[in-house]
Amino acid sequence: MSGDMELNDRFDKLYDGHRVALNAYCRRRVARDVVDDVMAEVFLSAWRRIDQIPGGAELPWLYGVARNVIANYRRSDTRRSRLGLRLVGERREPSGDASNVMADESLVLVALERLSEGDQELLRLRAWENLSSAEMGVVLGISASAVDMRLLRARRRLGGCLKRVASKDRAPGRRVAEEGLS
Amino acid sequence: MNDHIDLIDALRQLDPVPPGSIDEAQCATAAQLRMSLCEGPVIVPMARFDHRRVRSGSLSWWKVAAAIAVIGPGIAAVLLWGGDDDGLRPAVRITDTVTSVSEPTSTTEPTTSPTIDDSAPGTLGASLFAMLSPSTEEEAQATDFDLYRDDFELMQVSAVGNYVSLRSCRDSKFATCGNGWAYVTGAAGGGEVHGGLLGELSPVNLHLYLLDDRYFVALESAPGEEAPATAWLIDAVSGQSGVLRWLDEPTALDSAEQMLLLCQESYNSFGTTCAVAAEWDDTPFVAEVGEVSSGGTTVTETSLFEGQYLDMRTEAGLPKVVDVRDGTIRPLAMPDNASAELPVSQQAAGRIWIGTDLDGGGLGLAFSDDGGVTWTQVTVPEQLHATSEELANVVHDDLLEIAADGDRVALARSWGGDDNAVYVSEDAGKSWTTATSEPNGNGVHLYVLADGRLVVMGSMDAYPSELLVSTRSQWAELDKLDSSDLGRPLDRDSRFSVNGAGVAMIRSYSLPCDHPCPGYTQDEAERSVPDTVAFSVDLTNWSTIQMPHP
Repeated sequence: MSGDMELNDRFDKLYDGHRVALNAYCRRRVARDVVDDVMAEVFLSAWRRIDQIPGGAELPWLYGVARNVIANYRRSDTRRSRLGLRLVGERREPSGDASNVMADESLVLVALERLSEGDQELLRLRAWENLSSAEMGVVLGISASAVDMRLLRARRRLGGCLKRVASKDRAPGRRVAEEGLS
Repeated sequence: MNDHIDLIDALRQLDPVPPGSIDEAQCATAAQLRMSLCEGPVIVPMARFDHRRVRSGSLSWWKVAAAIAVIGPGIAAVLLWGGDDDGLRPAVRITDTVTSVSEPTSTTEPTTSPTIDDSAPGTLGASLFAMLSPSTEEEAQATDFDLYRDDFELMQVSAVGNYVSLRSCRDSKFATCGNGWAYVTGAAGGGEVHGGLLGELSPVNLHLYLLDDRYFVALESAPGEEAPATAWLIDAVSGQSGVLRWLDEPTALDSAEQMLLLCQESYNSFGTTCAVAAEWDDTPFVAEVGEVSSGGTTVTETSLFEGQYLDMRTEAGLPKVVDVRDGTIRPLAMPDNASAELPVSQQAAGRIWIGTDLDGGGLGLAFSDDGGVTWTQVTVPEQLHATSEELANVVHDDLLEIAADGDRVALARSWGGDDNAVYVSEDAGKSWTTATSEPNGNGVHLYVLADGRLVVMGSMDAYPSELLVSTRSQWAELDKLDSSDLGRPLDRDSRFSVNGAGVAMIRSYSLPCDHPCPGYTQDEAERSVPDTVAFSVDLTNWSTIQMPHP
């Protein structure tokens, strides 16, 4: 097999093996009509660096590229309106009659959105992409131990935000003096 | 809202794109991609990738990819990014990623040369328990600041100034110790510094306890289990350590060679916790700070509190006994109603205190003067009549602070917000009075001086705000201490800790550069490290420990 064919074959495997997962990654983070754009950029980048993608870590590598692509989009004010998180709009309905659960779930998402983008990404990668710490380290460019520590803090902050959100939910008249800090 | 909800699981249930929800048929296949390559779709030249020209339904992403494939990587690079692709590169060195994903990060395993220390003075001198000396290589690694660094939460100082600090592997590309931990031992005022390796540990469940003047216990708790995952006995003088063996059978304290993992400072600085398995949480939360009149109406003013609070792992929260004769650690024999949610245990003059659940709900206390064989129930002041679970789980984590000396006992909520009242009993809890003063701040911390006086330290978040001290005979009579009483300024820029042996003020050090900081990751550059630790057992004489830092 020639060198070009090997690269083509590898790209095909990369694409076939991870397009669905990458599509899901993008759909969790950007509006659906932007997903194709982001994926295009990701696979373009993958094509260009096909010989640099680490074996065994292809998907986290793709997530890392996608993360940067999305970040680049977000940095552009003119594009911002197209990229809002679609979490609430695309949320799954809970099964069964569980209005309280639904309320709690809404609060979890509200709390999640109040976190920094870095914390949100950590939590999403673990909960939705189901990545290990080492894999998350590839996405984020940090060590697995750093992932563990940051994930711990992110979970705590999510818990704290959840409590605050829940507290406000229970006491709508309460005024949060430093709302901007949250 | 359940405080113990597993947030990751909760988020998983809220996945907007759950597994299996994407129809693969909707995605272009590799074959389609190849087909498009053959067709050679027309793509307008782009000085820079313009997503607005690549919309779903009009020009799909895979066609763009195909076009680039046709044009060729070299041309594409020029057209799309003008050679500048930094923004699209994963923030990771490619050459490192293979190792970090496919292979566990290597950590030098502790290599020890067993030597039985039969010369060490102190309570363990006659112990048959073998303490092991770290190898020279291990000690060199543990004390190498390029590999391991100290943290605030995991340092303890004994009453005579011996200390142990647990050090985590640096979050640095230069450090090859992965999730490894090390310990360093030393003494205030200088002297020999020793160290050893503990291996890979969970930072969440790692705790450090002071046993006596020179011996400490490092313990990694196992969530949901009363038995710790691992526990080490560490000699702060020789640097030796030994792994403790867990026994399920509860025991009373009936030997000088048994020691209780005492309830120590329940705050963040470097104090450890009352619970064997617990964690500090630095989640900000909203605290009520007062009523404010606005437009004829009164609203509750709130503010964000950035301090840490204790997240209990109740299954393993009850006190444990270390027996150095056989190197075991086991549960303390306790009354049936001992509260795992509120293990406010503390020993003073041999007396052990523990939180209990009263019949019908509510918080109680019990004390034992015979090492846990028999217990006497005590009713707490009415103002503290919450259930122990409520106390442990409220946002503020209103754990009880307890200080005792014989029949004198003082109680306060650790983080009572606007309730900093100190309750004092002179008759072992039969009757209670409220102390004449309460400290400013949002936290209260109690400590008994060697001369029998009660010290009440108020804190504002992590920092000391005010010190009150009682007379020896009247704990309810509190007077404010000023700097001349302390022999040093009350350093409000330092964190502090009270661990049962004394009070420490810890000044931090921040790297003199912002990120990018050569040789340091962003996380490291943003975090401060301990610099100097001032420690005192009497709040008059202070010794200083200089911590290593860059």
